[in-house]
Amino acid sequence: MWKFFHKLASPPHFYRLAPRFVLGFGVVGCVLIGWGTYAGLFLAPPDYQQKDAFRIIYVHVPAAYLSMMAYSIMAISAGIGLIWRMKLAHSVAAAAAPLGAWFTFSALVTGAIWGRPMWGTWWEWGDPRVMSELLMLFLYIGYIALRVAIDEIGKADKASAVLALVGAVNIPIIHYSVEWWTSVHQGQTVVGGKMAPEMLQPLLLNILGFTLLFGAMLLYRVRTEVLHRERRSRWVKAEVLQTVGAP
Amino acid sequence: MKPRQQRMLAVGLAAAGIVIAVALTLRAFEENMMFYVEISEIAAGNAPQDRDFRVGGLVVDGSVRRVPGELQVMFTLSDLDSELDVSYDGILPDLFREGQGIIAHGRMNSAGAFVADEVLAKHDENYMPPEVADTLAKHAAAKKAAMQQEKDSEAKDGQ
Amino acid sequence: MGEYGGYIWSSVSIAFAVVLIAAVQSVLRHRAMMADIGRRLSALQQENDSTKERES
Repeated sequence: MWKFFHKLASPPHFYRLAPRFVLGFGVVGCVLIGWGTYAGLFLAPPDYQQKDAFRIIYVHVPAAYLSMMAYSIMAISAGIGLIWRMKLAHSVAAAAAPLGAWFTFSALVTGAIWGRPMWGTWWEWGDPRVMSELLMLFLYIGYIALRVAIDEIGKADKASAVLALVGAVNIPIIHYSVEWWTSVHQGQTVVGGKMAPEMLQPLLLNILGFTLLFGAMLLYRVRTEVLHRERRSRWVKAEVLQTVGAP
Repeated sequence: MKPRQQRMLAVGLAAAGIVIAVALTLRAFEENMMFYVEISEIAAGNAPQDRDFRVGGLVVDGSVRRVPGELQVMFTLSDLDSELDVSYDGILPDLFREGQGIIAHGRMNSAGAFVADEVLAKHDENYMPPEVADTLAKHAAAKKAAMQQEKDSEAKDGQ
Repeated sequence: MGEYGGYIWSSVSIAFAVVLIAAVQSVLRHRAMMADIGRRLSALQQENDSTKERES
């Protein structure tokens, strides 16, 4: 078991092993999303209160969940990289950031589209859930900008890891914002189990599907990061020659 | 101390410092930006004067009055304990109706009514098909009726 | 979908478009990285070849 993980943490092994998982996760993820979205939009009954408008939940909740998931992965990997000086961990953190930023953007936009007909506003500046999610988008952008700004990769790793860890306090704030403050965003649905089963099942399919797709993209991006960091090593040269073709 | 433990300590201390800083910021945030007042507070005479705040509650059944030909609408909000008269001049969200939970933003006028400049509907985190909601409502009504009957018969037995 | 069709379809298509953009961006980045390393390698090789020629 340990041997397997040690091997996985070695860049060339990871590089050669990852494509299989990328393909598997990607294909299964797409199938689940197709199934979940179809069931959510056409098979699930309309809500007693929100009628058909509630169907936005089938893309909003997976995006919001993954935006936080990606940040947690980023912060934990950054912490591991900082403490144990593990390079692959820094690669994971760097790879998670742009994906997390995209899902955060998606959650904010789909939330705005849901808020317009239901709450009565596109955007509520006073809502803590909306505000803490927006703050997370800025944290992601700051993290990415910091990495771009610092040329030396070791320094970029350290500085961005500190930022990721500082920003991690925002995660529990996002999660509990709907309980701590009275505002317009509704409470937790999935964990509390307060959704009719025929409506919940497509949502779970979509959450799983989007998570797998996220996993595939994350592994793919970690591969690119590894390639960049090891660009002077012999195995990368051999790998590139094989793919691009001998000059 | 080993260098790794030193780094761990540094990260831990930094994290603790940040948590404290954020907690303090949040307290300030809670007191100012998120200024939310309970209806019972207002009923007790503790309504903030000359500043905007938020109130939340349920729209009381049968309380909604509209001015014909205008957007102006008046209704009563209840937190199941006290009530508050609200007037609003604007477009209401689709979910607005009697019995619905809403959040209103505005301030008190001199007559002791709340003048809202924004009304948002707050739907809950429960999702179910309309038939299920109907059945639930029926069951609740039946249960209530049964309890009432029991009480009545008890009262009769006592006589 | 009734009266909310526009809202539902726009949010679903935005959510899918965002995932697609993220995936395409990842693939393009990988390709660019590969091409960059390839270019550097061939430049290095040419340099090596020319020094060899000069030496011989």
